[in-house]
Amino acid sequence: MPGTAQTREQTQLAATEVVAAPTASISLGEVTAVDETPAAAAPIESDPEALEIARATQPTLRHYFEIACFRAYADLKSNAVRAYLGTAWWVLEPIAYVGAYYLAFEWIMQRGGGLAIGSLITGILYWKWFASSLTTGANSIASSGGLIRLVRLPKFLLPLSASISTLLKFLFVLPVLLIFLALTGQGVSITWLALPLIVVLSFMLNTAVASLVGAIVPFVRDLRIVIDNLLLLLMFSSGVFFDLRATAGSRASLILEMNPIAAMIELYRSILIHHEWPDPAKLAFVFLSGAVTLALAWSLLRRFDGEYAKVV
Amino acid sequence: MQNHAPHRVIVELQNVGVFYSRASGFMRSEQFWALRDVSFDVRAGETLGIIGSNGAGKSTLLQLLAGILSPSRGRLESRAAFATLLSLQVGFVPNLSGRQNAVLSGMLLNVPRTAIQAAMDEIIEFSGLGEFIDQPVNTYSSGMRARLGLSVALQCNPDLLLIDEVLGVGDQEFKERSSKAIQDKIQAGRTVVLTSHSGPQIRSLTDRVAWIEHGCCRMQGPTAQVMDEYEAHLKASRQQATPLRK
Repeated sequence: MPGTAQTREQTQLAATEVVAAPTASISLGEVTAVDETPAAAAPIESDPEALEIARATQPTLRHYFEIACFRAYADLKSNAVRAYLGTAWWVLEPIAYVGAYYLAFEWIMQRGGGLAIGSLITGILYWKWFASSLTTGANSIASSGGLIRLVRLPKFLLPLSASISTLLKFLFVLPVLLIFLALTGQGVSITWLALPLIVVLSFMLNTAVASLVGAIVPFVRDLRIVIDNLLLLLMFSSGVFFDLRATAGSRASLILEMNPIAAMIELYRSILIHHEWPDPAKLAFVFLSGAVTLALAWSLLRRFDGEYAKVV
Repeated sequence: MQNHAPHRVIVELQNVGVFYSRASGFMRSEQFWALRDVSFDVRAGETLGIIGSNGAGKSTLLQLLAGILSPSRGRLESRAAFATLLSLQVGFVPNLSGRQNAVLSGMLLNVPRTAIQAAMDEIIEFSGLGEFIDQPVNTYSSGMRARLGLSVALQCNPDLLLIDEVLGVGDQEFKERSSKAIQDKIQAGRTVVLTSHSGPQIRSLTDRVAWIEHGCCRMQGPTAQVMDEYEAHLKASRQQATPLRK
């Protein structure tokens, strides 16, 4: 941070006319060292009493996580009370959803281009979770102006809360999918035990992408307009409607192998449909992609924390 | 007003400015400086008043002190772990009950969930909502919502309390009760920065005053001294404006 000479009032208790002087940018709201001359009255960095008080009253990560979970719950509850059947829709909606795809692809389109119906629905359900995480996460900061202008809140809470909400909806869908797979001849396998790991990994990847897009949208509103088209492109390059294994060796397979969403769908299919344990290389690839994206999103959200209230 | 001498600086602003960008055409934007050059300190235990005309930049200044905004230029250093702008109905979700909204809103104001749940009886009693506390807030009147919002907001105990106008809410009886509760909070020895258009309120509640005009700090110092200057300035402005109206 560049620093310049300051003009500063030395006696605060005497009425003073303030002299204007241009200066540079700064740290905000936290106990941080700065690269300029410390205040004459009481150097903030060297005050142990102040640091102790600051540590004692600083909101904890647990507090923020509780807020994110409560907001996610509030979102689900709000959606439920708007409908006549209320919370029953949390179960009915996934049943209707899987049923609609079953009818469309198994009966009307007759197996959707050769992919087994179980495989197809597995891919579609994960894709729907990812897409809803992305669209709600993308708007989570831009549409929370009222809140952002009133309270100081780490902005990662907003996409995280949206992502938790979509995770909870997916957790209602998952048992319906498992029952459907068991009843339509796929059978049950011990490899299903890897499902919690895959769900946690998906949640991390979804949250990372939603946070990154959510961090950018308030500054580049146009991105919100093109997200639907980008999602469409991503859907067709993620192997939702075809099996990655069938494309092995082709030019398309190279693109698909570089796409973490395609790898995620393949991981779901491998444990649920092919009854194989997850490929460690694919797990590592998805984890690294998610971690890098999350780190980038986190740094953007921290860097621009005090700017969002100016633009939303 | 605090009688003890405040000493430790907990927030320091030096030549701080804040601008907002506004779209002004195809791929073009212009800057609007809400604050241009503001310098002052806030010291532990004192009540600092911010005065100035509408649009002077008082609310932006409070958002800056709350850590909601970052300065576009200048230096802001704070040792307050958490500064809270006293706001009503923060994060209220219409379909949730009053009780659930109290918990959510309290947590957003940095009150731990367990603390807000422990204070629920007090919140219900102060707001006068009774059994309505378990009804969705979208069935409340605006007065009921404001009463619940204030009852929750009074539970927050930040290092630095920021108040944008000490206003009472609800009916006359609750308005008096809420004004008194806010004033008690201000006078409880905590560090407070408040804005007000009421001269008597500023004189009775604050130790020092900063006068903001057109985004700049025009004057700061002991309350009586700054208020005398400010009121003389207002009087002179009114006298200048009167012949024009005629």
